[in-house]
Amino acid sequence: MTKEAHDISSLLSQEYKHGFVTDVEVDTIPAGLSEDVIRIISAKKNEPEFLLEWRLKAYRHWLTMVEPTWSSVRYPKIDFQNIVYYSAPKLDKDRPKSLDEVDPELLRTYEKLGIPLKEQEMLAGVAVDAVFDSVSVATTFKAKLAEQGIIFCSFSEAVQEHPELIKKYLGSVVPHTDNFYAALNSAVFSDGSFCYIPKGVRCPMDLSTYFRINAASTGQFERTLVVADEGSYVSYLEGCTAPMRDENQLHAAVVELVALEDAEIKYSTVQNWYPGDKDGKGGIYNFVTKRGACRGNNAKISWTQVETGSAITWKYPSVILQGDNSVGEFYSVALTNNYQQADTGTKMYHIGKNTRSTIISKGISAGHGHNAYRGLVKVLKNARNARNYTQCDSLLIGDQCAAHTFPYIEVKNTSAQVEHEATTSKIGEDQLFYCLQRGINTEDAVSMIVNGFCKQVFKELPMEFAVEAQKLLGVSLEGSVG
Amino acid sequence: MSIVTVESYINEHKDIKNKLAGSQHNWLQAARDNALQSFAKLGYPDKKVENWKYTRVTPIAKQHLPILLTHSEHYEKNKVVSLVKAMPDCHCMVFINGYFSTELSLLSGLPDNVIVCDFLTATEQHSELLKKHLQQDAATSDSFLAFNTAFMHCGAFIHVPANTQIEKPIQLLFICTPEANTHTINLRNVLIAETQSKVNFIENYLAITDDSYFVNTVSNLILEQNAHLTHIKLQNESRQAFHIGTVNAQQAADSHFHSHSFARGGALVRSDTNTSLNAAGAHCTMNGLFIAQGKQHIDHHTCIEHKHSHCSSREYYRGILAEQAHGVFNGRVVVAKDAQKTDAVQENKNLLLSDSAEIDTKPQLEIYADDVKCAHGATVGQLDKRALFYLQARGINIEQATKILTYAFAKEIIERIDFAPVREQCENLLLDTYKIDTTQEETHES
Repeated sequence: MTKEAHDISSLLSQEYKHGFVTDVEVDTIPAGLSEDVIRIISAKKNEPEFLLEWRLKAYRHWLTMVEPTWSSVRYPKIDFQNIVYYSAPKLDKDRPKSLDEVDPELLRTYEKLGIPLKEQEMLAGVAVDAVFDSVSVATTFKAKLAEQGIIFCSFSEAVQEHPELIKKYLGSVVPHTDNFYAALNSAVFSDGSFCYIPKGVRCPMDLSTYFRINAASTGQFERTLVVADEGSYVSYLEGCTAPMRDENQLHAAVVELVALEDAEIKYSTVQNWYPGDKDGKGGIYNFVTKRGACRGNNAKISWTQVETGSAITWKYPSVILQGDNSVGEFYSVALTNNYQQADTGTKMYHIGKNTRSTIISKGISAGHGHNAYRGLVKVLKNARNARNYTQCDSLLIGDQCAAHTFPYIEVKNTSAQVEHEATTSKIGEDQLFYCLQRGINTEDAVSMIVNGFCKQVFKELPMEFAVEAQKLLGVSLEGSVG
Repeated sequence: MSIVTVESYINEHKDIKNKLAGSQHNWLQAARDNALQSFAKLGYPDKKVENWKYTRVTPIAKQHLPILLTHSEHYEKNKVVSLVKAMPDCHCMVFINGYFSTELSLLSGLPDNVIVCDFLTATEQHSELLKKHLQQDAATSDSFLAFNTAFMHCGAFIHVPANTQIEKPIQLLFICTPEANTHTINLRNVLIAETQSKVNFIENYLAITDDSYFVNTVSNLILEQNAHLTHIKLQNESRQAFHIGTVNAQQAADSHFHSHSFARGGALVRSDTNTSLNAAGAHCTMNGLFIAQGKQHIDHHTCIEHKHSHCSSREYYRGILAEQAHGVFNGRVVVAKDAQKTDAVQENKNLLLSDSAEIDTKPQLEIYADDVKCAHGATVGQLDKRALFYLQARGINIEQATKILTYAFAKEIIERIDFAPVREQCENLLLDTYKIDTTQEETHES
């Protein structure tokens, strides 16, 4: 046990491997939030009138709202006037047309993260819309996607080129009044990704965005909008990593998915933002609103997430099952180590007939981590034959951590079948012993057991992501033995 | 609207404060005053209070329901006597609109060292014991608990000394008569089981009226080391009544607490059962069944706090909702930081029999220790179609088949009750609810 204890302390104290700061000149506006700041952001991005109006509407509503306190996460009060709401990497006059034109400093940043764009372009056939702080700097494979009529670009670009689509779908799933952070995001969002898959098109490759937070005290307010028109299919990947910093950084993103009739959207996330050091200092506050709407019949939306980073994660990717026979899925692995806190889960709203949803949530708590699953399954009166299966398991590592489960089930229809199951346990000493006995060291054994615990979720991830996720989990968890 | 009501109770408290039981004791008055302040501060819970998210108390909050301060004299005694007789083989304390009736109670044959009296007598003769065991501080966070503490006056006080076993259960029979109409019946029971003792309680809430009244009842249960206490709560109030009840148990080492809650009556019902496992080896089981019809609203909240290592808990709750009924279940299991080797299981199953019925369930786990085994499950569904088909294939029509299967669903919980007369009473109530003709079934079998 003493050896194990030693292993734990040495391994748990591993520093964040992706911590570094890229030295790029940034074009920032002073900290603080007011209508003027919003006007500046909007003007800098040359936005049409309707968008500015929408931002202002959101801002005015935000002023009337109070910060929510109902969740299980605890953090010092955020000073919203001490946040810089816009920063963009300084670029030569225009945006780069190909990777060669991208600031070499940026490219090196990605290389350090092990995701060189060039390699990725050739490798997995992934189009990457890389977001460096708030403005997209490179979009690849765009031409190839354009052939099929797929629009995949940065949000600001979409605002310029496809304002009608933005106007139609922006805020249609997450209205600007939705919640405190969504309202804030609606007012000040700087950039993000936009994706539109036309009727009957099956997107030939996984679309992916790499988010990165840089520049001190810059809150990042991403806005992602994915629209899958009738009969289309898209798999969207989102991956994150951030440099080491002592100051807490707020991240309040909004992701909206719209699936029309027979369309399918698969949205996968690997989140590895800076979780703070081993004493819980620093780290990202990740307060995200993610929601998808199955608007048409037979639509399907599937969320898969692997959450290993951030000091605080607070997000509930949800699905509104409006169309008949629509399907919602949520697969999640959330890991908290050291002083990390996570309050995550999902909401499934069954509105249409024969709607089905599956929720698989795996929470892992180590060190002083706090991990909570909070989910809602709501079956409305007309949702005949709705079906839900929920399973949320927690794994506890170390005696200082905590795991909570708050499943809400609200059913108003007799034909609904809702099942919820949850278990909490620790890594079995017998399991560990079995591995050790066969010459597998403690670290690998824990990693194996945890990976086994999460397998149900990992198998939902696209190949490249699954590999990354497993690696991440290994790094974040190494040696935490109960 | 509700502010006015809160104030009216504050005024009422001023008027009747010195008439309440034990007003000569300063500590008791201080506890009442503190609780009243909490109640004034908290007001009535609205949906922003997480614990009351699904239950609106507006029907209670919109009117002033004065505390009944006098003994009721005018009621049909023979009806009460038949209700006492309905539960054979037990000691019985009868309370009419909250007031203890020595005349109707059956208390012979109890061991001499056992104290069985009402709250008023306890304040006069056993004030030290009462002071020791009355949970005063719990009233700060819940409005109705605060209300109850502020107006404590009626109820039962039972003290079972160490090494005493009481064979027959003690029934606390609370009967509301037409005089209770538009009044508050405020009950505070203190039930103490000392070291190595064994006792079974039945709290039975009944009415011989169809009126609307408000019962606010709180029971403090104290289980000392190795005590075995069974607590059966049967709630069958008038269909117009409001019933808000809390059972708070404190468990010492190796104590066993068995709780059964059976809810059938009332228009607006909220029933809380909480226990705190304070020392190693403590065990609790909580079983519950609620059957709601019409426009009934029945809300059950349970909380099991594992505060020490090596404790275990089992919880089984079922709900059957028909017509426009609304059921709520919230089961909370908290495992404290050092409560290693905790073993907790929680299960909640609900049956929806109508499209207008609603169930909101939330089985919650909060775990701060790592070496634990905790599981919970919740389901909402309807009857098994294959089972229905099986019965239909044997010539039983669909209505009857539905009733039989619903009965079977409920019976699994009732069967967990050890005491036969209670079990039979529950079963009869079920049969009556679902109008199952047992004689006919028997002829089918033969």
